[in-house]
Amino acid sequence: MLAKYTVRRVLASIPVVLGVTVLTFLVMHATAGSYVPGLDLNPYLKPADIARIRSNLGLDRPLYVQYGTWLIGIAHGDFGRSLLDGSPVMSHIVERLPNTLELTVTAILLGVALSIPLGVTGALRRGGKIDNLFTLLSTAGFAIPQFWLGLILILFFSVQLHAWRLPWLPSGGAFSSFNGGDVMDRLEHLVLPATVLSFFYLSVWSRFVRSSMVEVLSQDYVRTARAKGMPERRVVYVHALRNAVVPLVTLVGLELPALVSGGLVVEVVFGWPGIGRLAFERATQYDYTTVMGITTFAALLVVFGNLLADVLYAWLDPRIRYA
Amino acid sequence: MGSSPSADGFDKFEEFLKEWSRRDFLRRMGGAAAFTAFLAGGLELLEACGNGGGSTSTATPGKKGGHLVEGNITDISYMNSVLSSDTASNTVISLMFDGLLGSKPNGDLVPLIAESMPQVSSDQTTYTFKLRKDVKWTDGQQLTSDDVLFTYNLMFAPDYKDVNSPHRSDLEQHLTGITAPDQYTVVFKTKGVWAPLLALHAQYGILPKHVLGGLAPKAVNTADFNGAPTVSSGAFKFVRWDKGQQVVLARNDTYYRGAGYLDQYVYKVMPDSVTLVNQMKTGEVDFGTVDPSLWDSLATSDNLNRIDPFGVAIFTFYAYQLDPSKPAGRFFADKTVRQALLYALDRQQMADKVYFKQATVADSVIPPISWAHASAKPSYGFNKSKAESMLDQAGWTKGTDGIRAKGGVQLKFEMITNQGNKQRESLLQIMQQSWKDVGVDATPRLIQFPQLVTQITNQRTFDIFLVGFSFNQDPDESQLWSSTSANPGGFNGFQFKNPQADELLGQAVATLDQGKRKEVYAKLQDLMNEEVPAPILLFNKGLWAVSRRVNAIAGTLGPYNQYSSRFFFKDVWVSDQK
Repeated sequence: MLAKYTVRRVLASIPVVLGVTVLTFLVMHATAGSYVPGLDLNPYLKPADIARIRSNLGLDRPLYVQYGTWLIGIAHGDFGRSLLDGSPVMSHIVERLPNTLELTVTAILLGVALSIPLGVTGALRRGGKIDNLFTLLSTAGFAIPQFWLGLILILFFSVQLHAWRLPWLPSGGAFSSFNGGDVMDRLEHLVLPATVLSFFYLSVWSRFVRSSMVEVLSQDYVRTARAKGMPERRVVYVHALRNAVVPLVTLVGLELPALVSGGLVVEVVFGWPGIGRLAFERATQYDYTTVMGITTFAALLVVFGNLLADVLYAWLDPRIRYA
Repeated sequence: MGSSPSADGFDKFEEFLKEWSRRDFLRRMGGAAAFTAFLAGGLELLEACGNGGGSTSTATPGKKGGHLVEGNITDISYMNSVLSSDTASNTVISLMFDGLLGSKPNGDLVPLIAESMPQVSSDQTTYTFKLRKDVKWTDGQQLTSDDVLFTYNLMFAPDYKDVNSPHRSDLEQHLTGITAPDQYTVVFKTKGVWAPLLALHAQYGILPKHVLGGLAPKAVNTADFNGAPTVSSGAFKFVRWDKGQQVVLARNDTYYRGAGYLDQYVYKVMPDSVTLVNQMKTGEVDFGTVDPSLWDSLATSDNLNRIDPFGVAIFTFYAYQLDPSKPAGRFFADKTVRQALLYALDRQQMADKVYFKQATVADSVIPPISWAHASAKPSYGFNKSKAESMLDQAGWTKGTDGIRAKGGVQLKFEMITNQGNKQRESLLQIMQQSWKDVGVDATPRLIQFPQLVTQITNQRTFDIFLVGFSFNQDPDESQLWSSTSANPGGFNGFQFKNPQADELLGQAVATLDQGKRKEVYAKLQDLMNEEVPAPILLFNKGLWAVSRRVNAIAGTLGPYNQYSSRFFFKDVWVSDQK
C-alpha cells in the first residue's frame, strides 16, 4: 500500500518539475531573443562571427528542438554546459553548493537557537518592556531590506572600524584572497552575512514561538503543573516549551528549500560565492543553460523534500494513505 | 590641537551614534575607548589631507615576494585568447599568455614573443615575424612557430570553424594565409593593404599546441584548459579559479623576459563598484577601477593612491534613425536638425553631473588620446539660441503647446538605452530636458540589454538609441560609420550611408603610412562632425586606485594596456612583501 502511494506521489511530481523547466526556458528565451550570451556590444564582433557562434551553440534551432535536446540531457543526468564559459553547469553548482550551505545552515541554526529564548522571554513578560523591545526588533527584521542592512553592516564593521584601526570584519567573499581558507578565516567572513540572514529568520520565528508559548501557557495542564507546586522553571522550560516549539519545527522545515536559494540577496551583497549569486549573475548575463540548471536542481530538491515529507507522514499516519 | 576640536569631535561622535544607533557596539567596546579611536581616526584623516593624493612611482628595483589583489566587478569566462572577447578574461589571459606583440600605455605596439616588430614587404601585404628563441612553456617545452600557427589556425583555418572564436570573420576577410617557413618564423599575408591588422590581431595570447593540438574543433570550446590552463608562457602561471570569487596566479620563474617580483596575483570578483571601493579602503583589495561617483571619496584615503585619470578610447554616443522608411528617419534626414539638437545639449554639464567631472566632451569621432585625433569643425559648444534658430530655419516652428512641428508632424520621438546602466539613464534624462527647452519632445525608454542589441543590429525600429563603445588603438571605426556595417547584424544600425565617408574609411586603412592615415582621418573627422549621424557625447576616463604598498603600476598603466596588455605586471612589486 505504501509502495503504491509512493509511486503515485513520484508520478505526480513529474509535471511539476517539467512545468518549472518549460517556464524558465520560455522566460529566458523571451528576454534574450537573438542575443548570444557573453558577446557584448563590442565593435570588433562581426555579424558573421555572431551568427556562426549562435549556430555552433544551437541557438538558431527551433525552440522545441532546443528544449527537447536539453530535456534529454537532463534525463541522462547531464545539466548541459554554460553558454558563457563552456564548462558543465553541474560543476558550477557543485562548486558553489558548499558555500551556500555554510551560510544558510549557520543562519538557520542561529535563527533557531536565538528565536526560542527570545520568544519564550517575550511570552513570559507579555506587554513588558523587554517584550516590546523584542517586538520592535522583529518588526525591524521584517521591515529592513536585507541588502540595506548588509551594506550598513559593511560600512560600519568593515570600513569604519578599519578606518579607526580597530579589529574589523571582512566585507565580502567566503575567505581571504591570500593566506586564507582556514577555519578562523572562513568564520570571520561568515559573521556579517550570517547575521543579516539569521536576523530575518529570528524575527519571524521568535514571533511564532512567542505566540504559541502564550497559548500553551494558558492550557489546563500548565495550570495543573503549577497547582501541583512544580517549580516555574520546570513548568516553562520542560512542559510548556516542548509543545510550544512544534510550530517552529514546521516553519524550519518549510525553509529547507531555502538552504539552496534562501540567501540570494545576502550572497549578492556580500559577494558570497554561492548558488544564489550564481543564479543572479548568470540571469543578468542571459546564460540560460546555467540558470535552467539551477532552477531545475532547486525544483528537484523541493519536490524531493516534499515527497519525502509526504511519504514519511503516510508511513506514520495510515489515515493519509487512504485520503 | 586644543580642546575645541575634541569637543567638536565628541559632538560629531554623538551624532554618529544617533545616526547608526549601534548602542550594543558602544556597550561592548566601552564608550571611552571608542571615542579615543574616533579621535585618532579624525587626526589621521587630517594627516592624510595634508599629504595630498598624488601618485608616487619609483624607479628603484623591486623586491621579490608578496601578493597583489585586483578587484573587478566581472568574473572571467575563458582563459583562452581564441574564445575570449571580454575585457575581464583578456586581463587574466594577458598575465599568462603573451602574444606576438603587446601594447604600451599609449597604444604603441611592442614585440613580445616576436623578436622585433615584423618586417613588412614593399607591397605592404606580407608581414614576417621572427620569434624569440628563449620562450618556454612552464612545462619546459619550447614555444615555436608551431604554437603560433596552431593558435591562428583555430581562428582562421577552415577545419576549425566549429571553434567559437569571435575573431574569425575579420581574419577570413583580410588574410590569404598564415605560414611558418621554419621553427622561429611566421608569415602573415593579407589580401590587400590593411592597416589595423597588427593592432587588432597580433596581440592574441599564444596557445600551446602540445596541449591542445590533439583536440577536435568542437572540443576546444569546452576544454578543461579554458578554465584551468596547465601550462602558460607569460609572467604568471595558473593556480586556481574559485568561480565567482577569485582567480589565483603565481609567478612564472622561467618567464623569458625575466621572472617578476610578485609571488601571487589574485583577481578578485566583487559584487559591485561600491564594495570594490570599500574593500580597497580596508586593504582587502590592492588595485581596481573606481566608479566616477566614488572617485572623490578616495581623496582622503590613508592607504590608497589615486592614479592620475587618463583618457580612454571608450565613448558614449547616441544615434539618429536615418532610414527614410522609418517615421523618425524622415525628420533626422535633415542635417540641420541633427546639428541643432547637438547644439542644444550642455555636454560639459553631462560630464560634470553624470561622470563627476571624470569625462571629456567629445570634439570628434576619434578620441583625443589617439594619434589620429584632430579637433574637427564645427565643434558644437552648448548654444541654445543657435539650436533654436537652426530649428526655426529648418521649418520646425513652435506650436501652441510649445512643441515644434513641420507640416503637421511634431518633433517628437523616443530614445532607448539599456536598463540598469545608471549613467546612460541619467544622460537620457538630461537630453530629454535640454531638448524640451528648445521645443522638442523626446521620451526616454529603458529596455533590456539583449533587446537593445537586437534593436541596433537587426530590428532597427528605434528613433534614437544611446550606447557606449570601446575601441582599441587603431583609429579605424568602419564598424560604426561604413555603409557595409548598415547590413543586418552590423553596428551601423542608424543606417548612415555616405559615399564620401566610405571612401575615406577605405583610404585610411589602405596604407601603413601613419602620416598619410592621419591626413585621411582628419578629413573624415571633419566630415563626421558636419554630418553628425551619431554624435559622440563624451569620452570616458580610466580611473584607478592602488594601495600604497604596491609599486610600479602608476605611470605604466594607460588607456591601451590597462586591461588586455598586462605584461608590464612582471615589474610590479609590493614594499611589504606580504
